[in-house]
Amino acid sequence: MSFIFLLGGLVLGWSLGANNTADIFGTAVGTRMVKLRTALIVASIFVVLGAVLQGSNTTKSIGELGRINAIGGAFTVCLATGLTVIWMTRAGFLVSITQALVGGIVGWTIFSGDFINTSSLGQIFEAWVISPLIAFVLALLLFKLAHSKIIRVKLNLFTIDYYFRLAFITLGALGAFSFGANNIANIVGVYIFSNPFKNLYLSGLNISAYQLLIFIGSLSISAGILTGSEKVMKTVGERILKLSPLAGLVVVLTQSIVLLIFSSDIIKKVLVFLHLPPLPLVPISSSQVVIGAMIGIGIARGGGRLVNFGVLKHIVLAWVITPIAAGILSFFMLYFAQNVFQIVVKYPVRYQIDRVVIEKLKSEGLDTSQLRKVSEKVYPNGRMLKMELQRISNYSRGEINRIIDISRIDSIIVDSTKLNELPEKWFTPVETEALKNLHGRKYAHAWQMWEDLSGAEYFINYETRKDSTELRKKRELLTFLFRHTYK
Amino acid sequence: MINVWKKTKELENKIDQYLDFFIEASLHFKEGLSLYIRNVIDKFEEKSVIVDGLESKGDAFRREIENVIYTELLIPESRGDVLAIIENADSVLNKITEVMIEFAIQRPYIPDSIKDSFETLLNYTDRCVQEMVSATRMYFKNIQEVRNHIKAVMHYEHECDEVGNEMKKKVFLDATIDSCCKIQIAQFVKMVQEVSDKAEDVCDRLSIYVIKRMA
Repeated sequence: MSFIFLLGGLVLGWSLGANNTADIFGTAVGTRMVKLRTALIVASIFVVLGAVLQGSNTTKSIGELGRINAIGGAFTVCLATGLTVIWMTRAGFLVSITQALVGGIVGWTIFSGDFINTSSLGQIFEAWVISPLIAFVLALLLFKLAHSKIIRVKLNLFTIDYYFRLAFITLGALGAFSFGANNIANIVGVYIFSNPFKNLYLSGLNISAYQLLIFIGSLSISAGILTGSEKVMKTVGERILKLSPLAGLVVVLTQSIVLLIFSSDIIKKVLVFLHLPPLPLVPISSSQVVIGAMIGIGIARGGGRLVNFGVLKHIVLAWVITPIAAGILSFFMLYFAQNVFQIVVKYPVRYQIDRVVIEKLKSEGLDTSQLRKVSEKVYPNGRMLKMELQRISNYSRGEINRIIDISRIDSIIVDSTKLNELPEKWFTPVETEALKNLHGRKYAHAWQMWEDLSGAEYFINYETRKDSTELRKKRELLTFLFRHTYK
Repeated sequence: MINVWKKTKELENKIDQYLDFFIEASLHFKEGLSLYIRNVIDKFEEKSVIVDGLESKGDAFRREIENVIYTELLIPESRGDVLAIIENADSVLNKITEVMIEFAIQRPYIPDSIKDSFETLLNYTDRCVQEMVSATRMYFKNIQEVRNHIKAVMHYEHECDEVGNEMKKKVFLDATIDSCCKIQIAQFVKMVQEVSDKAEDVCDRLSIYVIKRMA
C-alpha cells in the first residue's frame, strides 16, 4: 500500500518537473542562449542534487500536504493535483503547482467537512495577485536600469554573449538546485512515516530510507523535466513575448528576488519597521512571477505592443482554473477513494470551546462572555462551530477564525521516540531535549504544546534567534508527528 | 563552457583580423592608385596583386566567421545583423579589388589637371573606409561610439562626391582631351567614388542595427 501511496507523490513530482522547469530555463531556451537539450540535462541533474544534498536537511518540513490528517487523503490530493497539472501542461498552459496544491487541499478540507480558514486563504489569494504585480514593477525597473548600463559596457559583443550564456547556465543550475531543495518536501515529505523503502547498505555506504525516498522523489521531478517540459518551456520563452538575452536574465533575477521577498522574515520585519504593509509569508507561484516580470519588460521595451495578450489571457485564465479544477478533482477523487476503494482519506477533526480555550482567548484580550452558550459543547467540524458563533455572537470574522483555530482538537500525544524516524539535523540537541521533557504528555490542542515548549528557555531564545518561518514549519511538523490520528 | 569561451575569443580575433584586411586593402588601394597616376606602373601592379590577395583572404575569413557563428549558435539575437554587416562590408573589399583590376587592365589616361584632385579623392576614400572599419569594430566593442564614426563616413563620402564631380566637370570642360578618354576617365572616377558609396551603405545598415541593439 505504501508504494501505491507514494505513487501520488511521484505523479505530483513528474508534473512539477514538467511544468516548473520553464520558470527556471524558459527564458534561456526562448532567447536561444541555452540549447533545449542542455537546459533539460542541467535542470534534471541539479534538481536531483538539490533535493538529495540540500532538501533533506534544510527544508525540515513535510510540505503543504502535512495539513491533511490522513495519508490516504494526502495521496489522493497529490494524485488529483498532479493530474490537474499534467492535464493543463499537456494543453500548453503555464500553471502553478502551488495554486493547484492549495486548490487540492481546499478540496480535501471541503470534503472532510472542516472549516476553511478564510483569512489565511485570503492571504494566499492576495499574494497571488500581489506577487505578479511586484514582479511586473521590479522587472520593468531592473530592465531599464540593466539596459542603460549594458549599452555603456565596453566589452565585445561576443564576450557579452558568453557571459550571458554563463549567467543563464549558472542561474539555471542554481535555480534547479534550490527548486529541488525546496519542493522535494511537497512531493515526498508527507510519506516520511509510511516510507516503503528500507535502509540500504551498499559496500560500506549507508543510505537511509528517507534519503532513498528523497532520491526517488527527485527522480520523478527529473523525469518530468526530461519528458514533459518542452511545451511549457516554449510558451514561456517564445509565445508571450520575444525576449532579448538581457530581458531573459532580468526575468530570472526578478523571480529570485520576488520569491525571496515572499519568504523572508527579515524583509517582512523591515517593511513593518518602515510602517509599510508587510507581505504575507505564504507560498507564491514562480510561474506567476515569471509572467508578471515578462509583461513588465514588454511594457519597458515597447509600451505593451510587444506582448502577446492573446496568450496572456489564456495564462491568466489557467491561473483561475487551476486551483478550482484541482479542488474539484480532489473532492471527487477523495469521494471515490473513500467509498469505492475504502481508503481512509480523513480523520474527523472536532472542535470544543473548553475551559483552556476560553482562558487562552481571554489572555489574548477577547471578550469571552459571548462564548458561554457554546462552551464545552463538541462540534463535529469547524464549519458548524462557525455557523453557531455567527448566530449567537457578534464577533468579527477575524475573531471567529481565531476562536475556531484555538478550539480545534488536535489530540496530541508527545512521543519523543518518533523523532528518531526523522532525518538527523531537523531538530537541534536542545530542541530534542525540550521535546523529550514533554514525552508522554497529552494535549487536546496543539497550541498547548507550543505554550509548554515556549516555557522552555530554548524556545524563548529560538524566537529571537531564528526566523519565524522555520518555527512555523517546525510547529506544523510536530503537530503532524504527534497527531495520534495520523498514519 | 570553456570550449565556448575559446571559440568566442577566437571569433573576436577573427573578426578583428578580417577588419584589418580592409585597413590594409584601403591603404594599398590609395598608395597603388597614387603610384599609377605618377606612372610608377610596376609598383602599382604589385599593390594590385596584394589587394587581390587580401580580398581572397578576406573571403576565406568571412566564410569561417559565418560558419562559427552559425554552428556555435552564438549571439542569437544579433546573429542575422552581424552576418549582414560582414556580408555588406565584403562588398567594399570587392569594390576596391575591382577598381584596382580595372585600372590594371584598361590603364586609363589621367590628365595632369586632375592629378591633385585624384590624390585628394583617394585620401577621402581611404578615410571613409577607415572610418567604416572603426564603426564596424565599435559595433562589436563599444556601441555608443558607432554613431561618431558613421558621421565621419557620411562626411568623407560627401567629400568624395564633391571632389569626384569637380574632377568630372574639369575633364569634360577640357577641349584637349579626347571624348572617348573623357568618358573613360569619368567612369573611373565614378568607380573610385563607388568605394565610399559602398562604405556609406555599410554604415546605413549599421546605424539600423545600432538602433535595434540600443532599443
